[in-house]
Amino acid sequence: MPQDPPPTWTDIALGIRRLLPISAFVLPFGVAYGAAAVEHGLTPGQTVLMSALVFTATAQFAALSALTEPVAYLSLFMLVLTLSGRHVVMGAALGRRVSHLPRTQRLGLLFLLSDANFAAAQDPRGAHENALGLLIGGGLALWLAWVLSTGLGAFGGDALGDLSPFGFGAVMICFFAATAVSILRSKPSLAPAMAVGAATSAVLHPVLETGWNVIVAAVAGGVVAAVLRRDA
Amino acid sequence: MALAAFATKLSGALFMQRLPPSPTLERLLEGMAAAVIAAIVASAAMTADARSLLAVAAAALTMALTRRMVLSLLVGMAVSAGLGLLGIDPGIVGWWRPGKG
Repeated sequence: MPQDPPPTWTDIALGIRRLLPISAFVLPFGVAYGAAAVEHGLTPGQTVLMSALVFTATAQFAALSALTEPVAYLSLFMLVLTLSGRHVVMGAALGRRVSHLPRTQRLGLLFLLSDANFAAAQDPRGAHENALGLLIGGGLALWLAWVLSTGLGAFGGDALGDLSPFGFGAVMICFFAATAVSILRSKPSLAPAMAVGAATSAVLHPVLETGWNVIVAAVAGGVVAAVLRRDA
Repeated sequence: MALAAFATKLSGALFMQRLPPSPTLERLLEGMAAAVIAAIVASAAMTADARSLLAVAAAALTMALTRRMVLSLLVGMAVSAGLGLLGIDPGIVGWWRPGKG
C-alpha cells in the first residue's frame, strides 16, 4: 500500500465534494439522534457537543441507553471502545499511509475517520484523487453534517415527524455495498479477502457482540489476502 | 466517550507505524481494509429488513453497471422509499436469524 503525498487544499476540496452526497444522507440519522438524546435527558447543547467530540454514530446511539444517574463513566468508556472497535482495524490499515504527515494533520485525519470516508479512500477515482484528501475532506463533510443535523434534531426534531418511510435507513448500507462492488471491479485480486470477510462477519454475527464480528472478519480477510497474494 | 472513540482510531495507526515495513504486512493491511467494508455490509445485511436488502441489491447492481456512486445511492433510496411510501412490506427474508421467519 503506497504512501500518498500530503493532501493539498484542492485534494481536501475534492474529498468534500465526493462525500457531500453521502453527508446529505447522514442528516436524517443526525436528526433522529438529536431528538433521541434530548428525550434521554441531555440538553440540546450537550447533545451537539457530544456529536462534535465523539463523532461515532453507532456508539452514540448505544450510549443513550447507558445514560444513568449518576453517570457510569467507565461503562460508557468501555461501551464506546467496544462498539468502535472496527476503527482500530481501520486505523491500522491507514497507519503507514499517514505516518509521513505532520502530527496535527495526522491526528485531525484520525479524528475525522469514519466508516464512509474510510471506504471512499479505499476506492479513489483515478490519479487526480488523493486518498488522504478523501479522508480529511470527506471526514469534514460528514462531521459537519452530523453535528448540524444533531443540532437540528436536538432543538426541533419533533417538528420534522417520522422520516422512516423515505428510506434513509438503507442509504449507508447501499453506500458500503456500492463501494465494495467498485473495489471488486478495480481490484479483483481482493475478491477472496472480501468474500472471507463477508462470510466470517455473517457467520459470527449471531455469536459475537456487535462490532466484534466485523473486527474478526477484517483480520481473517487480511490474512487471506496476505497468504494468497504471496503464493500468486 | 470522546476519548474512547479517538483511542480506537489512534491505537491501530500507532501500532502499525511501529512495525518494520514488509510486503506481507502491506498485503495484510490492504486485505483488511477491503475485508472490513465487505464485513460491514454482511453484518448490516444480517439485521436489515427485506425493503433495505432490495434497496442494497439495486444500489450494488447499479454500481456494477455504471460505476456511478451517487446514481447508485439514488436508485437504492428510490427503491427503499418507493416501497416505504407505498406501504409495501416485501415479506420475510430473515429466515437465517433466530426468531425470524
